[in-house]
Amino acid sequence: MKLSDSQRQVLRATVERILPSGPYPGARDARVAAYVESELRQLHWRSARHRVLQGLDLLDALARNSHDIGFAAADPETQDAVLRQLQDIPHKTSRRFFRTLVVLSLEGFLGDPSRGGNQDMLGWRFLGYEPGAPPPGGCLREPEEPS
Amino acid sequence: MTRAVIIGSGAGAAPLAWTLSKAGLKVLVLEKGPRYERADYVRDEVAMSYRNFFTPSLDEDPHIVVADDDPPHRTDLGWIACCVGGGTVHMGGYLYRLHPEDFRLGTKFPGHRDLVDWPFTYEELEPYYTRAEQAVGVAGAAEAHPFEGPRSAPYPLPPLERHPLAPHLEHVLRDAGMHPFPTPRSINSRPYRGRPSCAYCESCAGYGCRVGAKGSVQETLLAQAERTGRCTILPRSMVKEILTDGRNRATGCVYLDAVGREHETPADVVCLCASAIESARLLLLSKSSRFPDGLANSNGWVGRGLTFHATSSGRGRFRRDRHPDLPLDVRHPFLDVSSMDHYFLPEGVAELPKGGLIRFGVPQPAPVSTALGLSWDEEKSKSIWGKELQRRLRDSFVDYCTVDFEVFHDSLAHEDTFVELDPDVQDTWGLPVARIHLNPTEHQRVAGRWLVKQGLEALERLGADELDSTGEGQSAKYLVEGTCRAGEDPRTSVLDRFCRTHEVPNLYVVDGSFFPTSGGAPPTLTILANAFRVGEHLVARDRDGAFDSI
Repeated sequence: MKLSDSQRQVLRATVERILPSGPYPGARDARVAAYVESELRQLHWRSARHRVLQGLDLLDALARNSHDIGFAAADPETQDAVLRQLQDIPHKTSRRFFRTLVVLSLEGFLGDPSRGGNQDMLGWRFLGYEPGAPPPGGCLREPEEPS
Repeated sequence: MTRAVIIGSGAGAAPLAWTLSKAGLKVLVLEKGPRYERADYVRDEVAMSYRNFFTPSLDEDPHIVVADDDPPHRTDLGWIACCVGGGTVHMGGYLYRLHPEDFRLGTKFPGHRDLVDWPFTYEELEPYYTRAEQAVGVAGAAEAHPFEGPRSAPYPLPPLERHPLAPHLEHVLRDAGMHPFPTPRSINSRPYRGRPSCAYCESCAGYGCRVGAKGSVQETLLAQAERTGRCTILPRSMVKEILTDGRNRATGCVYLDAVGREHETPADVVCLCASAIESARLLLLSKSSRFPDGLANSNGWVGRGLTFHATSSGRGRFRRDRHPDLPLDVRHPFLDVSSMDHYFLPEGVAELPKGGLIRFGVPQPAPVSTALGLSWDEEKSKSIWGKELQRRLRDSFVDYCTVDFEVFHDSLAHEDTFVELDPDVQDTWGLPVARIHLNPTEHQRVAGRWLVKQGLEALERLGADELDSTGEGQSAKYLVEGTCRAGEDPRTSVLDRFCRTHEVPNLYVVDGSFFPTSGGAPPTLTILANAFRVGEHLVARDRDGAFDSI
């Protein structure tokens, strides 16, 4: 899937509004936009690509029509207003587009870091989740091998 | 040497493969899915839950479901797992026996037309329950609980270590007159038969076990079967048809390999173990002039009697700062407190007084799945995002500790719930997929609602700050039974008491398909045990020359 520079910027901005930085850690801190972009190139998402590209263009068009500025260049409050506007459109494709980005953002924030997102386990640490934390009574045990 | 072909490699197939190869038969296991190794079972939640690791993609190999007033749509409902070892690779391993009464509901409740007796009793199956528990290694403590049927041997492993909340919950349950017992798990609490003990890692249910401590049939029975030198397992081998001759004897199978080439393999006896939906489907696909409605289906019963096990669930959430008396900050994967006290319902709750088995647990951390749930407003059909989403995530994970429960209970067979071949949709090999008609009866919702109430009351007595019902009488998507019912009467069943098809004397269906009723406890251990029983029977028949090619 080929994203133009402007589509890439809209994607990044959207992901950063879905999981904003401050007061909580957000998408920017955990490298979520890079995960989302890379994930959309995987085979699993091939049928989603078309509606994602359409959705990104729609967000930009909404921002220009209602606020006279491109989505990526707008301030966060304006971006949030445009996203709420998008959610109110009773059209299946635009709804699925937004849901796809929410799903991908959460995968990128809270998925295993080996997949590329959740940089430095920031998403997990925000939730107080440490995988492999020791159970009571000592360290995470090595499996006892049969003698 | 008698040649057996086994289709599938899960809980039904593996005891057969083990029993037959040990007895000297030559066994070929044809598995549609891949063969994974321990190193493939990574801790990546997204890969395991959302990228078709265990179940096929809906584009390539879906089921179709017709339920309520929705149009038919693609689903993974009824897909248990498509890999060597089947569902036992990713199961949570809650391996309970059925109650003796589960085998005779027709006699016990004669007024109910869809309830029938099993063609064998708990007592006949009991030695095989013991064999199955020992084969995969079940950790439990039978002495603790009076509701089981008789046992010929104790559990081979003691219970796993449990979360320090367990005794608190058991105390509350005992005070209410109940008899909690440790949940029996097919997970090594000690090194067992060459495999290590559990590492208590929190990536258990829904994941393969990286260290081999979970008693999947892949780790146990299939590995041992292969070591006899008489059992070959072929992964990525999709059986598309079972062949029969003019004498109505099965002669072999046609299968497609990983690159789509067709092969024909001969067999003296064929055992179909592809799980309830897919076994029924393969019989329906194996049409011929002698079986125009599908193999062994002259009476139309293949696909009927389908049940998806009923599950109900709830949870109690405890604010971490409010319970100094409870060890809420401890991280431990296993709470493992179960109760069969409500296996039968008191009078007046439901028309049929059949209840269920409650399994209390602590939810496994699943950050992505939990977050996806929290990000969806069901009422408004909209995503929740931004600071509000972040706040919800944090509240849910950080401020609360959750104790949950799952109830396993009966689903009643009904003429409106069945599986057939889909008239429109084909899989990637061009074969019609299974179409599931799903219409659960009201009983499981009524029973589920009452059972959830009991579970929530217990958590309230434990001190939960918030209580939620999270499901009442739902259909468990990978606990499926009944599509090739076993029975004494060939007019109203597909299989006889040894799971032999009535119409094809050397064709057996040995997975969850045979269940005449779903039972209350979940089916996995019963599928394993029955397969051992049928395997022993097959060996005896083989010795009598039943499978000699003439």
